[in-house]
Amino acid sequence: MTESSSAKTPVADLKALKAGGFIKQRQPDLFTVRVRAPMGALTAQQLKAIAEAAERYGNGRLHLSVRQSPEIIGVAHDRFDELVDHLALAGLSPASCGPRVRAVTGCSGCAVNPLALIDTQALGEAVDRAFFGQTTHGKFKITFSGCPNDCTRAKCADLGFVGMVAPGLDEESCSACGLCALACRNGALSSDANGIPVRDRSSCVGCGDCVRVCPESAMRTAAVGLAVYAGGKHGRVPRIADHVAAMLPSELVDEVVSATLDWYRRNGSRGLRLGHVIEELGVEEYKRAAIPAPFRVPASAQRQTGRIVR
Amino acid sequence: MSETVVHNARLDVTADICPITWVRTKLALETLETGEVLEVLVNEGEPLRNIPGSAKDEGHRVTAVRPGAEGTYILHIRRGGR
Repeated sequence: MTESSSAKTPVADLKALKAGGFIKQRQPDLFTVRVRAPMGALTAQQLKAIAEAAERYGNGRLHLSVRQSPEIIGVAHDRFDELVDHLALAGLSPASCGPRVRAVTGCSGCAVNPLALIDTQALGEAVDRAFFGQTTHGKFKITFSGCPNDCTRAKCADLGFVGMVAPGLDEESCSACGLCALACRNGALSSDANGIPVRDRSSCVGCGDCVRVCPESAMRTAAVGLAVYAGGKHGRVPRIADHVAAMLPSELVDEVVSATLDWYRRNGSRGLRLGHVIEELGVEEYKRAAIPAPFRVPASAQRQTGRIVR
Repeated sequence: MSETVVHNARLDVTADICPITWVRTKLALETLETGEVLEVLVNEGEPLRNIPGSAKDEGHRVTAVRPGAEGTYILHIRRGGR
């Protein structure tokens, strides 16, 4: 515990407090403490430590933030240091708020979920380790989804990564049963004269349903990568992110996050979100700066996100 | 794939929705011996996408798929080894 935890210390710098995940409550002197749980992942022991902390330093109640952070309610500002120490023993720390990179969120990923195409948990944790808490012009939310179903709403994040595959057919093994085309939700597969499936790349979102249903394992995963979405937000004026990259190799995720933050810092100003800057300068300029050329989605092929496509 | 296979049991899951479609299919497969065939009547769409994938994951084999009455499909699933 440090001197600053003294009850006499006035809560002078609300901004500094907020940077550390301490959020002012309606009640004078009480704060909600947001705990950092990157990718929504916690061990049972950590959850116990959070529960103990809520009873000892808060009012015994918790709230789960919309971005997967447990929040301890009703903490007096003079108990911050004790609470932080308590959390640290379980390997936990406060989350961030304010104009900075927030805890990275995501689904359970391919280690658990049968539909997931990538290891969201490992990828997201690595990005969280590298970029969490960095100062930007506005909030900066990064989200990973394991497949194009996008349960974690990567398409509404400042920067969203979505697992995808490139299916490839081994024609020798194909029995022409047609199941892959029946399973495809995007109408990307049709059968040729011999019943062999033909893929329309522009309709294919890379979900892997065709690979999963193929009885002969003739439809295979030729490559795994990530679709990238940039400039999404919620708030008063929501914006669906631009679809900026496809089949990005996971080794390049850090590079894209880094280049995106650089471009945003260079071209934005206080209070603007990445989506605002993309609106001002155009998505093509953003792509040139942040997305390695081979993986850029051309404007003509950008996935329609403003209307429901069946 | 299109060969006509005699089935050993039949199941209609057209009145069910996910996840019951697969649960009932799985339970029906478990009553069969290895190598026996279950005929399942499914709606187009979600069950046609999920049942074959789940069956494959658990070591069974889809041996036939053909259209049934309007909006339905008939799957033949051969029970895999334990």
